[in-house]
Amino acid sequence: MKRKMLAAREDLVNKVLEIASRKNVKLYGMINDTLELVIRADDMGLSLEEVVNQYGIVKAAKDAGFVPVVESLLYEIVEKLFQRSKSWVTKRWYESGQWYGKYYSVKLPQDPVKAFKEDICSFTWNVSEFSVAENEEDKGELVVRCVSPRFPFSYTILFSVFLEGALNMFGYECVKKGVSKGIIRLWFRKVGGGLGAEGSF
Amino acid sequence: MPKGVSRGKKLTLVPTDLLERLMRISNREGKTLYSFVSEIFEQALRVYESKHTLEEVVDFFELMETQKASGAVITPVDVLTYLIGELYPSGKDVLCERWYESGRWYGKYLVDRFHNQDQVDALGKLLSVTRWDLKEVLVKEENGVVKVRCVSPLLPLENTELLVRFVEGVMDSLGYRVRKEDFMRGIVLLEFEKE
Repeated sequence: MKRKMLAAREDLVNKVLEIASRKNVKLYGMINDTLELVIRADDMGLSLEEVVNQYGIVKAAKDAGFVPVVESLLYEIVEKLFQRSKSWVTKRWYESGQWYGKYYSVKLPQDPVKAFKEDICSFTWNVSEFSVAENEEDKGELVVRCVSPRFPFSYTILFSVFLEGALNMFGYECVKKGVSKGIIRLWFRKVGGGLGAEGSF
Repeated sequence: MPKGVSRGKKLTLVPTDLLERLMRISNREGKTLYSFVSEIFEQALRVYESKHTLEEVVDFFELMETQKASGAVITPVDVLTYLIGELYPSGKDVLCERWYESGRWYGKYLVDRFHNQDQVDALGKLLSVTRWDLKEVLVKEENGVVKVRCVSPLLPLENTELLVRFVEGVMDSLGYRVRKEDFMRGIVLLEFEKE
C-alpha cells in the first residue's frame, strides 16, 4: 500500500499517540481508522463534527429520559386516550413538562430555558419549526412557536401543555395561547420564582 | 526536522488513497488539508476523552438515522408508559395487534434498507442502540434459530408484551416464525426459526 506523509498539529498528534499507546494500538492504524470514519461520515453527507454533535444530542435525550417510539403508534394511543380522558391525559403531560422544567433547572441552573429550548429543538426532528424567543413587540414576553403538520390535534394540545409545564417551572406564566392542529403559539411572562435562573433571550 | 515542516507540526504516514479522498473533501469545503486534519483530530480526541470510540459514535449516528427514517420520534418515557398503562387493560388486543403490524412494517423497512446485509444482525444493533430503555439486548442466529433476549428491570409488563409483539412482527417480515415465546415483566426470551 502506498503511503504519504501528512502534516498535522503536533499537540494533537501527541494526544492521539497517547491514546494509541493506552489502547495498545499503533498510531498509524488509529489514524487510518479515524480518517476512514471521516470518509464514512462524508458519504452520509456530514462532517465528523456534525456526527459527534448529533451523538451528543441523542445521548442528552437518553439521559433526560426520552425514548424513541414509532410516531404513528404514539399518535394513535394519544388520540385514543385523549378522547377517553382528556383532562387526565392533559394533566399527565403538563406534569411531565414540569418534571423536565425541574430537570433542566437542576442540570443547567445558569440558563435552563436556553438548554431546554436547544434540546427540544434537537429532539423534535418531526417538527418543522420550533422557537422560543423574546416577543419583538413586548420584550417582557417569551413566545414559543411550534409547527408540525404531522401532529394530530390531540398531540398538539398535549405537546403545548408539556411546554407550558416546563416554562412554568422556569418562572414563566402563560398569558395567551393559540393552539390548532399542528400549530402552537404560546406567550409567557416572567412572574419570578420558578426553580431556574433567568432565561437569556 | 524534515524540510518544509514548521515547528508545531508533526508528520504522520497515511495511505495515499485515504489522503487523496481527504484532500478532495477539504478542497470541497474550502479548507486547507492541514486545518481539516486538525479539526478531525480535535473531534476524535473529544470523543475519546468522553470514553467512547469514534466508531461507536459513527455507528450510533447511522443507526439513529435509520430509526428516524423509519418514522421514530422521541417522547418522554413516563408519558409513554402512562399512555400504554391506561389503554392496556381495556385495549390489550388492539394494542398488541398494532405493535405487531408496526413491527411487520419495520421488518419490511429493514429488508429494504439492509438488503445486502444481515438483517437479523441489523435488528439486534438497532434494538440495542435505539431502545435505550432496554438494559440488555441480544439477537443472535445459531443453526438457523434466532434467539432474542431483552432485559430491562424497569419495563412494565404492558410495554414488555408490546415489545414482544413488535419483535415478532419484525421477524415475520424477515421470514421467521416463533419457535419459543417466554416473557415476563422486563424480560423477553424469544426464539425464531426460518419459515
